Amino acid sequence: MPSISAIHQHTPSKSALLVSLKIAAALAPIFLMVVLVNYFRDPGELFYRRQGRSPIVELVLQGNHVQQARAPENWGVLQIGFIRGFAARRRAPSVALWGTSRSAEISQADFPGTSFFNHCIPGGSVLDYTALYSLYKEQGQIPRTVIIGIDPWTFCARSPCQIRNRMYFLPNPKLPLHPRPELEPYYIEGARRLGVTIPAFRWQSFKEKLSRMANVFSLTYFQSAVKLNRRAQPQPTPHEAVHGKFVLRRDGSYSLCPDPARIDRVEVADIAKEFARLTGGCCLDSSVMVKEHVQLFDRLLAALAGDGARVALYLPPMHPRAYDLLTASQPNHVESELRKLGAKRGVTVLGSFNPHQYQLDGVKPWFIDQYHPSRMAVDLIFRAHANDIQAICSPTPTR
Amino acid sequence: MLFNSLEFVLFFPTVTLLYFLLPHRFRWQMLLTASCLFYMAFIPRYIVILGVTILIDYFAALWIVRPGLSPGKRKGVLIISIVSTCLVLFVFKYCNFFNSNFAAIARFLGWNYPIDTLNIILPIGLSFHTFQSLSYVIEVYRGNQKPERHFGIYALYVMFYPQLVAGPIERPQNLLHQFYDRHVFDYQRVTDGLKLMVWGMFKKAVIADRVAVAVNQVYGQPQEYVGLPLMVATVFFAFQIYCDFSGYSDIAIGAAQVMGFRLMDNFNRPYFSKSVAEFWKRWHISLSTWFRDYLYIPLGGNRAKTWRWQFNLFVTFLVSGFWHGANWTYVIWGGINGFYMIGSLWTRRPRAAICQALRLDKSPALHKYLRVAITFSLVCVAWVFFRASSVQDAFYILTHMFQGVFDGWKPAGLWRVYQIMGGRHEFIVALLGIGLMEAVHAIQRHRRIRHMLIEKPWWVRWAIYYGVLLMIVFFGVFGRNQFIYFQF
Repeated sequence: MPSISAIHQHTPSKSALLVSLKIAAALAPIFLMVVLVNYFRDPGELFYRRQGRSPIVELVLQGNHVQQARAPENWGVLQIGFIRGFAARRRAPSVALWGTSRSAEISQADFPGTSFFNHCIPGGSVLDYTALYSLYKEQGQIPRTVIIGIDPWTFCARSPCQIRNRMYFLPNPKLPLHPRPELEPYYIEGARRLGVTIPAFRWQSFKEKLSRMANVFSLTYFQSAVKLNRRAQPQPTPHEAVHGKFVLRRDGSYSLCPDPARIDRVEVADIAKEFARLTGGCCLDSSVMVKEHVQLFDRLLAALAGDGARVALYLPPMHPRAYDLLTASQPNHVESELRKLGAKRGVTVLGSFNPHQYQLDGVKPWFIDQYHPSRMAVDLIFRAHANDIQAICSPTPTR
Repeated sequence: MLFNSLEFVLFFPTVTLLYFLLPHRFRWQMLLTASCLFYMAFIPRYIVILGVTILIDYFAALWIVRPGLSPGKRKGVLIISIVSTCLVLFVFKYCNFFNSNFAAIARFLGWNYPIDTLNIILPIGLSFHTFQSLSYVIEVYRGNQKPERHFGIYALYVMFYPQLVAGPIERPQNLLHQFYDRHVFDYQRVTDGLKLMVWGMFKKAVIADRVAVAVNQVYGQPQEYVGLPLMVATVFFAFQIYCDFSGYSDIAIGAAQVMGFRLMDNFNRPYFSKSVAEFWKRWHISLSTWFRDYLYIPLGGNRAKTWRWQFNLFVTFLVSGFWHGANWTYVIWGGINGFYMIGSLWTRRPRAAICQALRLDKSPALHKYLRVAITFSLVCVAWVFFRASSVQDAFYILTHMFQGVFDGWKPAGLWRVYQIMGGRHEFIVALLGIGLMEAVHAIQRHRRIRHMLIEKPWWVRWAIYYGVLLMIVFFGVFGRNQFIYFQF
């Protein structure tokens, strides 16, 4: 390395070259480290399509509960793996749940005497349900019963927001639905099967891919990759829930809160209040039901019926504080529309966005935050609908 | 464009490279274009407002020096220029503030007030370039600066991208002539500038944006906290605003230095000040000296009767508070600082008596540390008003900060602080970052650290550079976090 006095003797252009070389030499190892760690650690599975060979899928298909440091991010890849794995093993579930994180707690125990699988996709939308339908159709085996978990914002896009250091998503009907690149072929195929054209999400999907690839240079992604060391590797576990870890159960469900004793109900109520304030009351009004997405869903219900599947809609409740604030100025329009749709298609509706319907009053830890019901709440709701569930899950239709 | 963005990582080397590659006569054009692009990366149309300010003051200065113009008319032109420039500031920054206050008064009196809040977004850095432009006209009027006849160079003086949106607020005597200087690539100057930029980035990414998580959380809903979290958030805000703003200034000064421009220092280890008066000589120096030169001294400064001197001081701080933002919280913040300054004059004798009684004059080191601690505490109290969303929130924080504080020191209170920070690890990293920065400041009391580094073997220097870079990479918070002072 040349000494400073030596550099001073150079002409300005030579000095400039030397400085540039030194900066490049200094930054190159750091730059390389960031790119290599981002690419090869890939904590969000952005660069690898671990389709069909995801260790988590293999372990679940072998009948294990799987534990890892944090929740996977590539839920679409997992669902592709599960559905293809069922077909390869000729072990398709008789009851399948298509839902979001709000349906994550629903497990085999709620459907005794059946083979159940929970295909929940956190942040899922009607597009994802179309993809799941397409995936099952591709394998030629639609489950006998399909329970579809619906959120008020299933038919519209959402934008991220931070409440108390946690990331949440608020409905935003002005944005296009968020496509998952790994499910893109199944959106197109699903839409084709349903005879609908989905608004151009191809360009959006391309932009999504580009922004994903840009993460190879991201320092935030690098920090996630460093934090997610070897402990991120999935491992089988005998437990259905482990505090501080993410556990995906063998039936596809997972626990939102492994330790209900830790739920701070006062804090949860405050989060619910903040959520209601941030959504500005648009959460349950008609604006979140984007017409073309509702039509797509209607076609999906019709297609499932045409395939001989029995369908039920599951409406997970919201925290009473959030629900009361959201419905203070306007009625729960989304639920009444969904019930109308259900009645039109002869579909059973389980649950309600309205927590008061099940006396989920907030005295017990029924909720882990503003809209995720705890396992205790799910038990209560499914007990209340035991007869309906028996009817839609029995091998032969009872009505 | 933010200094802590990927765009700037591409922008800065490109502009610097072009600057040194181009012949001298083309450099100002390139810098002006780059500065326009830099500014337009925020809200492009607001460059028109900047253009209006530039035009007003450019022609006003030329008019002021027109031969044959009477002193009265020269003064008139100066006043027109100041009023026009301030009018732009008023419309975009203060209009809604006055409007909402008039509406509140009208409501109180039961009158009908028909004017709604205007839907205006404050152009980024408006207060900074407005003040820089004003300093030019005033200096031309005073005869300290010749008017700049080259419009492009004058526009560049106002728009020079490193200090365009958050200062340092330069004086024409210091900056204008530098655009005519032929800057050659100087190894020492360039590397010093780059080191300063890295240090600024460290302060912004590792400290300011990290502690911002806790500060935003607590100050967003202060009523949900008592005791320790309020105290920690307030102390963290003191470091957040320092690291955010001085980090910006370091990057600005460093970026200019790489190209050969010397911008004035904006901070000089302010939290080591032994009095509030000293703090204001070390904090946001370019603004403090602006107010001193263009407001405090014209009001009469300290060469007046005692009551008038104190009045001048108080008014200067009040206006300084109002400059920061159109909100009563800023006005109160300015008022508190003005009160501190006057209070320090009133209490000079009793303080000296207390020092003697406690024999602090016998142990000057202890006396100094006590003064530093007291000054820091006073500054923190004032910061509460600066950061709080409303006056009510600020009073809540001040009245609940010490409530149950001894319960708060128990692990449960600490756990709440960790929770706010997003984990114990985050909290410890923040403390270590602040500790490292203050250690560097302590070392710099006697000598600039970069001068000390030059004497070290190359491997020691490089180990330190790498250490800082790796700390930024591993512990920096990278989002699109704006610099706080952009809003002013």
